[in-house]
This record gives sequence, C-alpha cells and structure tokens, in this order.
Amino acid sequence: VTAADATFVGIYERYYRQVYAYCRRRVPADRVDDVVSDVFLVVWRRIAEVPEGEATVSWLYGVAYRVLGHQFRGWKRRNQLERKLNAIGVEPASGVDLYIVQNEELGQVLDALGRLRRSEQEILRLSLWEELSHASIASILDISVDAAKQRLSRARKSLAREFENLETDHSTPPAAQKGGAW
Amino acid sequence: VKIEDRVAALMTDANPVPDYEQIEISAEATAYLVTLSQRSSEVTQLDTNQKDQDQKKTVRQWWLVAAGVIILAGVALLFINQSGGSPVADQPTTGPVTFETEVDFSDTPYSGTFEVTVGADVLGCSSGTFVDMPDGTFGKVNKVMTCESGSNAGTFTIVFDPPEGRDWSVLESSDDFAGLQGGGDYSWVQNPSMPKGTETLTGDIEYTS
Repeated sequence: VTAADATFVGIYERYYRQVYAYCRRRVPADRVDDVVSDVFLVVWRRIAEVPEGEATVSWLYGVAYRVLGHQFRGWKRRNQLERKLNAIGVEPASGVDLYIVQNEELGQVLDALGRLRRSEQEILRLSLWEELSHASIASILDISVDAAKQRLSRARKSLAREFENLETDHSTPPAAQKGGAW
Repeated sequence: VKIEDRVAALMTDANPVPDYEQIEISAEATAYLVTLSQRSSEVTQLDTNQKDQDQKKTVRQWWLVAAGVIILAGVALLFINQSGGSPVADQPTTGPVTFETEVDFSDTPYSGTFEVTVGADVLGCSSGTFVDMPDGTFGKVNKVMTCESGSNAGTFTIVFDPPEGRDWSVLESSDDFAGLQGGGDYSWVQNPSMPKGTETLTGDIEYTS
C-alpha cells in the first residue's frame, strides 16, 4: 500500500458519510451512489491536492458540488427524454425520487426552495443542512467571505418570500424539482 | 420570530439526512480503492483510446485535405489547359503571317535568314535560317526553314515557284511545327549591286491537330 493509498483510505473512512449525506441532500436516492463514486474517484486521482485538517471537508464538498453540476446537465437531458417517453406512454426505468414529507410545512419549504435559483438553493443547503461557516461556504463556492454572507442573506429572504407566496396561493402547483432541486 | 428565521428553521428540519453518522459505508475502503483503481484505469484507457481515435481522425482529415487539394489542382490545370491558360495554349492557332527573308545567291544551295514580321505568335517563331533546295519538280523550290528564335523549335518547309510564281504553301513540317498548314503570296526583289535579294511571303497559317 502506497502512502497515497493510505491517505485515501483515511479520507474515505472519515468523510464518506458526510460526502454521501451531501449528495443525498441534493439528488434522488437512486443516483447518490454514482455521484459519491465520482467524487471519490476525483479524490483518489488528486490525492496530493487534498488539504489537511478542517479544510478537508470543504474541499470534498467543493468536489461534490462540481461533480453534481456536471452530472446535472446529463440528468437534465435524461429527464427531457423521460418526459418524452411518458408522453407516448412508455414508463422510464426508474422514477424520480421524491422526499416523503409528512409535515405539510416541511413540504412547502422544500417547494419554496425548489423555486429559487440554483446558487441560492446551494448556499442555503450549505448553511442549514451542512451547517458550514461563512468561510467554508466561501471556499466551496470560490467567493469571498463577505460575498458569501450577502448571498446567504439574500437567499434566506428569497426563501421566505417564496414560502409566503405558497402559503397565500395554494392553487399554485408545487415545484417540479421537489427535494433534489438541482 | 422573523419569517426568514422561521422558514430557515423549517428548512433545517426538512433536511433529508439530518444525521450523517447514521449512514452506513457501503464498501470497505481497501475494496473501494481496488474498484477505483480499475475505474481509473478504464477512464485512462478510454482517454487513451479517445486520443488515438482523435489522432487517427486528424491524420484522416489531413489526407482528405491533401486529396482535396490535389483534386482541385488537377481540375484547375484541366480548366487552364482547356481555356488556353498555358503558354502553348495561349498561342493562337491561326492567323496572318509575313516572312521577310534575305537570300544570298553567291553560292548554291541558296540560303539566308528570315524574320517573321507578322504572325510570329501564331507561328511560334520570330526568326531563323533557311536553305533553298530544288523540289524535284522543274523550277520549284523547297525553302527549308529552321527556327532559331521563338517558342517553337524545329523545321518546316515552304514550296514556291520563283521567280514567276506568285504563291507559296507549307509543304511539310515537323517537331513543334507539326500540323502547320497555310500559304499565300510570294514576291522578291534582287539587290542590283550584290548577289543578294529579299523575299516577302504573306498569307495565312494555321496549326491543325
């Protein structure tokens, strides 16, 4: 076992769950394994670049963020194909996973989240789900800390506004990209 | 509580994976490492294959370009030849002509020089030398003309019937003058003080293939 392999094993064992959770919070369950696999493939091939200490998890999230961004484009094309197949009565191989949300308010906040821009969705998830600091968010999104603060503040306001809009307009259909809103 | 804080709290509660510690690792790290090594090799192999294909594609493209250039050049040459673009084809194949000669009668066979004062471009010759040889028919002379200046090289022979004859014609031709035909009017003037004379042959010539 080389030193690089040993480093990889250490990172994998310590951060696998966090990387998996990050991906699961953003994509349907049937796609998580593929994304996580791609993330760790990047890690393995760039093992010398992985920072040590607290910066490691931010670096991993940054990789996952870019992997998801890359895969999202492929999924978008696939979803378009699935919609066409549905239109002519052909069932896709696997349906789109939706979170089972028992609480109506939780479902509504996810609907509101799905109505935001992707960059707003991401910064809210990093802050509220990954519970990262402004500095870590700035590192992942490759922006300044001040910019991260401002964007997060704006995203929180946007989320509240969309949530209120949904409350006052129940006839509006929920966002199509509920949950995995990439 | 501000609406923003309330909605943010709701979103926190809506976290699909609130506790990542509950996630089970699907594969042992060492086994996963083997899988990744294989995947990485496959990706590298795919990359290599792609590069090979790209290289072959580039070579094929260059060959196609080269073939295209050759074909275009061929077509261009064909077009130039057919449209008379070459130096030979630029030369008109028919037209009027005038020969001015200077004949020396001091010795036999008579000989001299000539200049083509009209139609040198048609004939492909502007000057040269000649020798007058008996034709074999009584009185007729074959003027064997050798071109020494012009685009064409070789000899052609004119037959005429001096001094009374008033016409001339091309009897035979060879080399670059092959296919030369034509004829016209003949006249001559003798220099009274010297055994020399000048001839003027006017007419029309053409090259037949």
